[in-house]
Amino acid sequence: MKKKIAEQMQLPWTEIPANWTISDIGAPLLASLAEGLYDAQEVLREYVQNAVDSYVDFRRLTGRDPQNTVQVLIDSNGGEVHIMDRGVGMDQKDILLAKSIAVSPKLSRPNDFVGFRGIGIWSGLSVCDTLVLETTKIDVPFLYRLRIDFKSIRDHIYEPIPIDELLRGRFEIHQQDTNVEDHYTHVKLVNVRRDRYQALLDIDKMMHYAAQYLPVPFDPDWHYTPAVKEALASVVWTSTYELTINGEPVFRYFPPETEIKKPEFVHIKDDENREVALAWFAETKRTGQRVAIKVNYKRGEVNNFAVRIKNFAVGQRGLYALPQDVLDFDNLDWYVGEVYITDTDIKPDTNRRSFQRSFRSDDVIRALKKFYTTVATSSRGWSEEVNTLALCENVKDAVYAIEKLLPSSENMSDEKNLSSIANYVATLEEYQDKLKKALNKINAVDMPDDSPRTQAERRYLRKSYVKEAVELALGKISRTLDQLMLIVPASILQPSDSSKQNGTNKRKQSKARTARIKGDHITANEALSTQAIAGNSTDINIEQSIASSEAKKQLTSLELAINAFLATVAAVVGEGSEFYRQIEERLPSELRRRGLDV
Amino acid sequence: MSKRISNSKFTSSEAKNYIRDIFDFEIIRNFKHEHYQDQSLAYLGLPGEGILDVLSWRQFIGRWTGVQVVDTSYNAEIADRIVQKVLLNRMERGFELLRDNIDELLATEAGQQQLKWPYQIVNLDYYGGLVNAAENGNSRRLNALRGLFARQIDVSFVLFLTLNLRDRDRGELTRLVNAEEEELSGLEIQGVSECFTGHREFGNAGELKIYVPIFLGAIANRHSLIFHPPILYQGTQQMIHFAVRCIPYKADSAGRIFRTKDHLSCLNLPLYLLHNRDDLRKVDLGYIGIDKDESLDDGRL
Repeated sequence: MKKKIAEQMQLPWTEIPANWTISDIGAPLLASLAEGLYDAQEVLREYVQNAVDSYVDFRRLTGRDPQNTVQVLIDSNGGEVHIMDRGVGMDQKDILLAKSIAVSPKLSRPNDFVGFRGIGIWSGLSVCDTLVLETTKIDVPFLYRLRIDFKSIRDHIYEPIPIDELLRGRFEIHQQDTNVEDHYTHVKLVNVRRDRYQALLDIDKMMHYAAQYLPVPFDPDWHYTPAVKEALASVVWTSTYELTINGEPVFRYFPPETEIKKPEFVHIKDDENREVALAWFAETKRTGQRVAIKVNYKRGEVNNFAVRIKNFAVGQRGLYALPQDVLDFDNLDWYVGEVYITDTDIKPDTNRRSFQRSFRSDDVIRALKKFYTTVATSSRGWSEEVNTLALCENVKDAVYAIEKLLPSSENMSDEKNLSSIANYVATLEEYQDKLKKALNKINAVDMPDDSPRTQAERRYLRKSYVKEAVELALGKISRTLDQLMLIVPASILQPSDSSKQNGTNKRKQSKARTARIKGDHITANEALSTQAIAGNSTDINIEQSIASSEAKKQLTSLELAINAFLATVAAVVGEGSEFYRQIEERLPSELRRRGLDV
Repeated sequence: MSKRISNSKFTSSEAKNYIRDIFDFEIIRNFKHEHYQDQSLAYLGLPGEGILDVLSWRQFIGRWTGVQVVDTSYNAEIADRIVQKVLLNRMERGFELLRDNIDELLATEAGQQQLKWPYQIVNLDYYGGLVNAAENGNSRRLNALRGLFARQIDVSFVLFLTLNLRDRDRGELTRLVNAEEEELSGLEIQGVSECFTGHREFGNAGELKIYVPIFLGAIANRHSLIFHPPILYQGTQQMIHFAVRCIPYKADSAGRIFRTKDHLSCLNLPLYLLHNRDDLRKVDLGYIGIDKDESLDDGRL
């Protein structure tokens, strides 16, 4: 009964006819475009993107290869910027569509074009007073001109009026006859605002920006251009465009081959082993410097990694490489390279400073960070290799110096000689310790949970020429020390406090070592003097005693391990077996061969 | 939204094309060979919306400054067309467009500072005349030429000067030509009257043929001037075209003295009449003083 009454009391709803029109959208909605969504460089990029898409359309429409040229003309004095492409151009329908905001055929086919938001020509709204777009489409005998009064729109953008009222009368479209074969689009930004967008009128700044962010060709004179181009040929969206600024061609510049090693190529995969990007990278040939690759900034050379989507760079170099996420983060500067995102789900955000959040973006960012870590820690390996080889070279020098002193040391009254020999012996022992550590790393068993840094160090030390050099140097040290034992009184061979290096000397020595490995010229005298100054400080004593104590610990552990190993073999094959006997017999020599004097 | 089909007022005549592509081209080629063999040249001029001169001479030009006055919307449109043409023809390397009056740029200190001196080709393809007097009696155009020579004292350059015959002067041109005739008549040399009569038969063109070398000779005393015979042709209007090679004069630090002989050699130059590519005529306007056989096809000052 109560329910029936309630139903009777419920008032009916009557629908009022209503349409949603453009008048329902207020002018201030455009304010985000007018209030500097893009900085000066990004505005240039937006128009170059449009030019690139015009070439994509040209190929689709004609089946022919387009010219792929983008001309930028900056009139700094006149405050104008021109961007011209010879792409497909626009007909009347296209030009009417071009003035629209966020309405574009590109929106339905985001993977076919670089731009996909439909902002297009409006990206210059905050930048200049007037935009003029002149265009003619292939096979169309008309040239169209769209002129939009951006300044007037900006001046009224916060008025409480509908968006159509704001735009009404503030644009015009004209047409005139033209050659039917012509096809181009010419965008002109008139009266660029010098107060906020002066950079857009700075030719040098724009050249630098274009070289780093736009899909311009690799420097044709760069040694590795053919190799990188060949590797990228199979990857979609790696086409380049001949971009000129005031007639000067823009190229991507990288350090010369004297600075970097041959580029390597890597397919970056996510945790599910799906490819998300292709990267090329080249490692520095330098060591011992804070920023390892010497970069000619004036020329436009770069280091670190650019992340590219559809061949336009996104964000800063080393995008998503943060110190807390990437081990040996600083070492990314020891490399130069590019990462081409191939996962089509990944799109840049509106101003292309990072990835747009998506279903896959977290996975790809994680894969990217992992890649950075692998690369950055590899530099540890490179450093390890260089230092180890330098150590081997130093061994040669020290041994040579001792050999020179030996004949005169037969006269044991020559205290000066004996003192020198004692110093060299101390140095040799220090080298021996370090080289043994290197050999331990070479021979260590890899474990799945080894850190990337450890893995990298082992990878570099296990190179055959490194291993060989280490073994040779250790052999040389052993022989020399053995020889000295026979000739020189044991008391002389005891390392004195003064035979240790202080920090400064050590740095000098390291520098000389690095110089040798780099191939820089160093005289024999310099090499010898580096050796001679080794050791005047007590602080290194502590370091050495720690090292020595660590070495002892390692030795004890190793002996225990060997005993355990032999016990295991005896348990399995029997202590009296021939097999056990052979192992027991050969083990010491095998260990010695690997530098482990157990 | 309006619809408009524009058509340009200016169309380059066949005669003009011939002068630019054959005569001037050859003059520049020889000039470059003689003075700037291993270097490209800098151009300053009024290229017009077709930039036809720059396109024709592009192989010689390394950088260039085009000037276009933008006093009306029509002229502003021409400036826009110039930029478009530059981009379409990939001529933007070393290019700058100054939206200004060339006479203002050349005649004033402030204007001169906007230009990237020096220039080895100066093409003053004026739409109007030379002696268009300003209200105060000074001709801005003549001052511009003074400014040009003053800024290029040490520079070898070639000057092309194209003028409209409908000069809106206040009789200065006729007065100067009469004075010149009077002066030469007093020197007891033969043929003066016939020569001036011959020039006057071509009206303003004849008077300009007399006046321009005298004027340039007077203002450019730090240069040796080598005049080529002027060409009278029908462009959009009746026009006369002068080509002068200007070479720094080093013989005397005080500058070159303008001698009567110099006047005569210019007066004795023939006038070329060009109707079209197939109709070029040489007209002798009379000879003064020196033997006809000794006359040269270029007048040296």
